[in-house]
Amino acid sequence: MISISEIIGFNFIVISPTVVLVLTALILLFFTITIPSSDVLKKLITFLGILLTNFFIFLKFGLYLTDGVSSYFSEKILLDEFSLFGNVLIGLILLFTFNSFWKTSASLEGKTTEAIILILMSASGFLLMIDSENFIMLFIGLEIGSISLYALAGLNRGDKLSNEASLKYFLLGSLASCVLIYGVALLYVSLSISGVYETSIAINFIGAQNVPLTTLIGMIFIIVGLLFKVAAAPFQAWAPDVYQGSPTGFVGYMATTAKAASFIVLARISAISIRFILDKFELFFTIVVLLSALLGALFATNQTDLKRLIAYSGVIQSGFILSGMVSGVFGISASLFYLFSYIVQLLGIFSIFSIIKGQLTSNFEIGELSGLFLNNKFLTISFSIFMFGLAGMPLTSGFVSKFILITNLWSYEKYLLVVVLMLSTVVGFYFYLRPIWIASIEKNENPLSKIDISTSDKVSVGLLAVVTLLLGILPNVLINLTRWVVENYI
Amino acid sequence: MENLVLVPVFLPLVTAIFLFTQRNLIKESIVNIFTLSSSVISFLITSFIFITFTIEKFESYSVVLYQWTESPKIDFSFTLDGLSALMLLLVSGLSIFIQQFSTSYMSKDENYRKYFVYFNFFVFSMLVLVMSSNFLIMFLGWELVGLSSYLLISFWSSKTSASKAGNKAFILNRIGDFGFLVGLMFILNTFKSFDFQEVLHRANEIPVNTITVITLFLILGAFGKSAQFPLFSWLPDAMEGPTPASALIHAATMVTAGVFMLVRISPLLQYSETTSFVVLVIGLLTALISAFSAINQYDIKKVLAYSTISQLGFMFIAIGVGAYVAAVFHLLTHAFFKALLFLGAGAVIEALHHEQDIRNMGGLRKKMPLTAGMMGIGTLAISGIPPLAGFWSKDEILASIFSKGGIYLGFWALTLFAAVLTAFYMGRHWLLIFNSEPSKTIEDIHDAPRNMKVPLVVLGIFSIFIGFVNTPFFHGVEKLLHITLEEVEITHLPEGLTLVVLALISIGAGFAGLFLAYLIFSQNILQSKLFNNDGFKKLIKFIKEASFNVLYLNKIGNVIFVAGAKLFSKRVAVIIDSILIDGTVNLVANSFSKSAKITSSSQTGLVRNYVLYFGFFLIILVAVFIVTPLVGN
Repeated sequence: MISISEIIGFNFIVISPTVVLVLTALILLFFTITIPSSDVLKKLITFLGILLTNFFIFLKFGLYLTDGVSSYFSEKILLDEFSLFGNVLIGLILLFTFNSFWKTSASLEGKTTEAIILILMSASGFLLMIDSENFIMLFIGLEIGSISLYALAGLNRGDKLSNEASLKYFLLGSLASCVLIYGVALLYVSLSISGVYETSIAINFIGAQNVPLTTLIGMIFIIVGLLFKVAAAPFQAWAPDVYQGSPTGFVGYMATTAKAASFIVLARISAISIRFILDKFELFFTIVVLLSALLGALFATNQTDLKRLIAYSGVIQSGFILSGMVSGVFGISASLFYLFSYIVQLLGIFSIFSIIKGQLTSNFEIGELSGLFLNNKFLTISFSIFMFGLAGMPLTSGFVSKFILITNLWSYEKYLLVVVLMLSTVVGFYFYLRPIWIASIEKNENPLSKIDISTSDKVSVGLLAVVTLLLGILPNVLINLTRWVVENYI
Repeated sequence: MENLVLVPVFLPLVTAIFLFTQRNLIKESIVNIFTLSSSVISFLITSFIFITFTIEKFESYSVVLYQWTESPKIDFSFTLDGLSALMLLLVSGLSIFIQQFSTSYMSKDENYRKYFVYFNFFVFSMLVLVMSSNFLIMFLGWELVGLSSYLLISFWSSKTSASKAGNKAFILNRIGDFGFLVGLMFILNTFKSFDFQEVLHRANEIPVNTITVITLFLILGAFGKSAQFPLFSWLPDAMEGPTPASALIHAATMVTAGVFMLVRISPLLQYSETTSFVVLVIGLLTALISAFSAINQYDIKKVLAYSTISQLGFMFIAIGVGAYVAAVFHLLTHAFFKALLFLGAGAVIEALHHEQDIRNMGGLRKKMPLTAGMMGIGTLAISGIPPLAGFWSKDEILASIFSKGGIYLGFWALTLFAAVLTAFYMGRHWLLIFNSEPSKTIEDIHDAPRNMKVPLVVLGIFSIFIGFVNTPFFHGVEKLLHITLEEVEITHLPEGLTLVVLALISIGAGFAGLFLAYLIFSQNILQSKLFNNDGFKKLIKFIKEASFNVLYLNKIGNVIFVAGAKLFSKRVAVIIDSILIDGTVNLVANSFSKSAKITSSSQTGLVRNYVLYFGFFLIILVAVFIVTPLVGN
């Protein structure tokens, strides 16, 4: 007798991180509604939940070792190298943002658990998105993840900017979701399939030249929907407003998870149908990369708000990561390396922002950094390391990631992209170093007084800074890891 | 034993970090003990390395710290060969004396400790640059020296001019670095390696055109760092930094990094006649323009800055004609006499309580006899008067150009003219400071204190004798560089009588310049009746104005490179923002519905704009996508 669970390919471990996150959220909800309990208990539960999630992500590696690349739940959930890489990323993001989002939530009086539940739910959604083999599954994961983010942006109800950010994010995000699901529909109409692998097989079968136009437009729509989430130009307009308006303590989480999940999915799509992408989408991606690098650099130069600056820098970085998608399999592995190092830097920068400026605030002018160095050596040095990383200074992970990406682009003879990306890097030095300059060198009459940093904050920021440096000095481990991710597609 | 090379490289870094962390270290004397003893130790070790290196017949070796990436194989490693050994000795030797000078010059500064942190960090970066064994480590050092020079230029950051100068140096250097980076990418793609050994030994397998493209990009980097035309305007502004730092960074070592790099890649460079020619022309242009600009500057340090640029131009000329040994030799002698001149200028500035305008000086010879004497030695050395250091190296460059014959004779004449100008403006400099009548009396002028005197005297002695290491009778530098430049065809000096005549001509040039300066600035010949007519006065005035304004090049350069870039980014951002998003989209949106106008607060308006913007680009992208396959097929 074959049980139903065997037919549909039921496997608990493969969805266990998602399940654990949802269960943690439910337990928290239960405690909030029924028994009045202390914050410490809730903190403990949340942290244990996150640790358990990470443990189950580790278990998925075991499953991978026995089963190899495999799909479950009637080809809805996929276990492959990309999903493992993405799971690890999300797990790490949760661990490293725990400090700042817990503090932010705690300072939201009466709404502490609400915020935590939103975060856990959104993480579960993004995990599902990373694991999805089916485009509809992907859409569901993306929506679970994003809707929580929209709410998260507006949690500080007293702040006008926060409300505005939330509404903007919601309206534009739902538009992007519409475009994405419309693309999935078009794909289904033209080929009657909705799986990632199936699509690639079908395209190979009918030949890249005979692919119906509806399929192509459908795929463009899907990719555009994802590009919106990673704030690549020309779909970047929301990012600066949302970053600026949202509570500072949440932005680190919001920015990193959505980017990580969407890039992993994009990378998987590119890797699976690499020939097709190289053949048909090269111009499309080239335009997006060029626009991202140029617009991002132009806008970033004039920003006075640090969070907006980081948002526009994110546009450039997205351009960089996307450029790897059109330079073959090694380009994709370089993109993944870039993604990892970028996320580490972003996490560090936003943790520092929330330490300096407080958790719930929205605006953060560059001038407020001035004189930081005098009394806060640790913060300034780690801040400088992250900014140097974003700028691509040698000895930081930023340099290595830009380096391997651009050398790879070069070997594919995409000279235009190389020149434009390098130009944006050169311009980038100007606006990345300005905050460092203001924080450390520029004279200031009344510098910031000493800021108390909790040990946990110190440890997590310090660790991130060390990782940024280590990846610059000893990049081999991660390079090999990212090559392993794409190994099957060479 | 071979790992000993790492000590002089990393000791300054350790010192810098140590001083950086000791924030309670307020006493200047304790800072002095740490920084001076560390530089003396590293100099002793360097000398030991150099001696063993000489005994072992200049056999080069590498020290690999660890492997940076596997494929392409890039190691984090250092190489000791003739070129890097020379630079190692030069940098660590000069750093001792300049630091000793600094202890007196920077004393009572509120950021005394920070100055030495930056200083040691610079020495570390420079040594990484010169000791590098592949292009990537060289680039690392290249960026680090840029950073530390930026920090030192804007050391007194409360002065806005200092911050501005730092920014300018930074922006102009980025243009050069961009070229350098593109060159590196080309190298990696052509040779699949960054290692000097591998790249430079395989140069003859590569088509000449590829080499030309690679080297053209690389020299852009050299032009930026070594302040060559058109990227030179940052160096005079960089004089905002502390004078001893200028002596080390903006005269003796960092600005010669471009020359060092070109000599390093000379096995590549020799195959590309185009690039060599570009280097020659740009070097000559720079030498002439900056020598001309130096003749009517009034800031004591700016004269020296333009003079540095001009001398760097001489080195580039030498590289352009293939006289790589002469270039390195001039780098060596120039480092000593220019450091001497800068330190002398520092002593004068200190004695006059931070007065830098040479019109307010004059007659200091009697009050500061030692400084005057040492500056005099520096002036004679740079003017090319035998037997001082500058004569040997400058004569070698001039003779090398001459020996190429043909059109190079024209270049020779122009270079000789630059040498006359050099002697002229340096003569003017010395005469106006130390000889002519004081136009303003400044009280209580005393000669330099002991910590300034010692470095001045030591550098003065070196400026006299360092030239003897590479004369037509004893080819010291050439022997040292023999293995490094093994596969390079070097332009050699002419033999016999020609060489003697050339030497006499270049001595004549030096004396002519000095004599002219003596006539004009000591005997006031311009005021005499002979030149008392309007046409001549107008000419003099024109020359003075043009020289003071650097042939108006600075302004043009500023507009194009610094202001232009800023303005451009601002303009475009504003235009895109206002027209594209607000303007067009508002127009479309408003005409579509009147009701939207009524209800629109700015917020919802913006979101609507974003939505339209989103849709607009989506349609464009789809349109592009639909159109292109047709074109493609």
